[in-house]
Amino acid sequence: MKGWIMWIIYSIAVCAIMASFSYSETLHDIAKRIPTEFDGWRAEGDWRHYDRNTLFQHIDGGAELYLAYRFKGAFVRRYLKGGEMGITVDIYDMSSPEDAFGVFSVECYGDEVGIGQGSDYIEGLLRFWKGRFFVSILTRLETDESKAAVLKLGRLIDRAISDRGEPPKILSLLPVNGLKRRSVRFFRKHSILNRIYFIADKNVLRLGDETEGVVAEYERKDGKGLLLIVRYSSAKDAKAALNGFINALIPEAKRTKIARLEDGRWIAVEAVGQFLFAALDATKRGFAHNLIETMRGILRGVKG
Amino acid sequence: MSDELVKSKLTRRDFIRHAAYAALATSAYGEVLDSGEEKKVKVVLVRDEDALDKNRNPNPKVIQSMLDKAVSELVGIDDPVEAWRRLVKPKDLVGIKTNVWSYLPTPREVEDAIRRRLKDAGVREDRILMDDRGAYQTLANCTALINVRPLRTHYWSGIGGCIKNYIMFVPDPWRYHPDTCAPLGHVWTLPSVKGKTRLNILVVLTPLFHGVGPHHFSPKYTWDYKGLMVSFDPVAIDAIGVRLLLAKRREFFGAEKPLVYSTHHIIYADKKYKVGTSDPSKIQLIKLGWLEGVLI
Repeated sequence: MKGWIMWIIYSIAVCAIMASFSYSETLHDIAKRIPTEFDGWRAEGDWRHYDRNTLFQHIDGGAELYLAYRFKGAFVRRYLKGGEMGITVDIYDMSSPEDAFGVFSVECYGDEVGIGQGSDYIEGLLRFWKGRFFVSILTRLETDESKAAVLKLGRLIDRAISDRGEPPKILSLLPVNGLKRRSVRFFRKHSILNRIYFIADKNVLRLGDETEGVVAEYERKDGKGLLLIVRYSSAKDAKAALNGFINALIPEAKRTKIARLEDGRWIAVEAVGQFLFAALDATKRGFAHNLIETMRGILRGVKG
Repeated sequence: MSDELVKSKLTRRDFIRHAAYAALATSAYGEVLDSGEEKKVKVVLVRDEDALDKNRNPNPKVIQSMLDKAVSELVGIDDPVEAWRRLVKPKDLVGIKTNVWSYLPTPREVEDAIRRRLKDAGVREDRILMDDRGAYQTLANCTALINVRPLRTHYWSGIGGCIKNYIMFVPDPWRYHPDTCAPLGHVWTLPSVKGKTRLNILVVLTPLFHGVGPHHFSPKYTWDYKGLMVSFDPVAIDAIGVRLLLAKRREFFGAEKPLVYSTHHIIYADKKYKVGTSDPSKIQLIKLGWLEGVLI
């Protein structure tokens, strides 16, 4: 009897250890599972590693995108084949699935190709996210052969990553009616929001490491525009951000919180609990108003 | 343009309100609106159908000829060597601030053309330095600078142009990237740079007009414009560069695809740092050579 009990305890312990390993796979672990050769393509040298201090050496001018999320490290390698231009593989450890999704979401311009937990392919560039990892595979000149190689390498790397993860919870607050799903962008910092929709040079919305936000496009019968939702640590922070936003952008609408800008587009904003939400670039007043009211209804039932 | 644009909190509303910025932003901007009494800043664009061979390599002789025509027109002297003599003196220590971004570097043919004319103007070979990433140290003591780089879109600053090319004169260039590179003009006020630039050359042989992915480059988003732009004013030349990229983006995508808000470092360079002018009513664009597909 005692032996059976010990065996059961032992089995549970082994399973727990294995489970913990599968959630803590590293770039090294993943890199080991990616073949150095496939379909005549050969890896050029070993993986190069970059961290937060050295990433700019690899992508001069573009590193800030990753640094604006919780980027931890990256592995980079090239594959070559005969006369074809090389394929560059970047695998980024973004610390969390939310941040991997965030980096992926800001530049979705192509087609979903069913790789990873979300993918985007356009003209020789494949991007996808899975678990806490974001992957970019690029061939500078797309041919039938290089495109096939990019997609195959993508599937190989997809298989090499065991972990999966959930996209940011804040996405579940987006109203479904009229949502353009490929337009959803997740961010933390105001530098990213400004690239999606420029608000102001200064961080009037008080965004930072502890905030999370989403912007999405909507098109409905009552108009078109963007919805912005930001979650703060406290209702007090959300209220302060609301005041900052109104003072910076629509100071004439302190009471109504809805205004038409000089380009003819409408802005409406509100804060409920820990959340700030705004209709931006709205083609019609009714659209902006309705979107705000919809968000009020959604957030009524949300705790924190 | 009002001084409101130099206040510390620049917002979307400011851009919408100010007509001069809107003119910078639109690809529909036409020619000089008013040829009034005020002297305008010249930007010279020269294009040649034979600037690139079938493999998209620059033709050295054509590049030299283009540079000569552009500089002659800018300086106002027919003889290009004499024109260069007005830009540099034999005793100058001349620094060529080039750009080595691997996907679209300054073509060697352009660098050679510059060197050739510097030597013709009397500058000894050992007094001509050239650098990009090490400019902070190697070019800091130069008495004259030639600023040259290809035009491209840039993930944070909207465009990589002549203003941004001097970012390597600081030891920590990455600090200028946040806030969409708004304070780039500040670099032009530093002692290692201020007042030294004799010529700005924006290479528009194969400009990059759109970028995606971590490397922000795809050959699909370059085109054979086959041009060179020169000016004494880096802000004006960049303002014209933005117009060119916006025009190409509208042509390619079939709709307005703005860079608008992320290029406001150009207006800051004008209004806050006084490096040059971004006001289109004060810029005279002179177009020479091949005009097909000029877009601006």
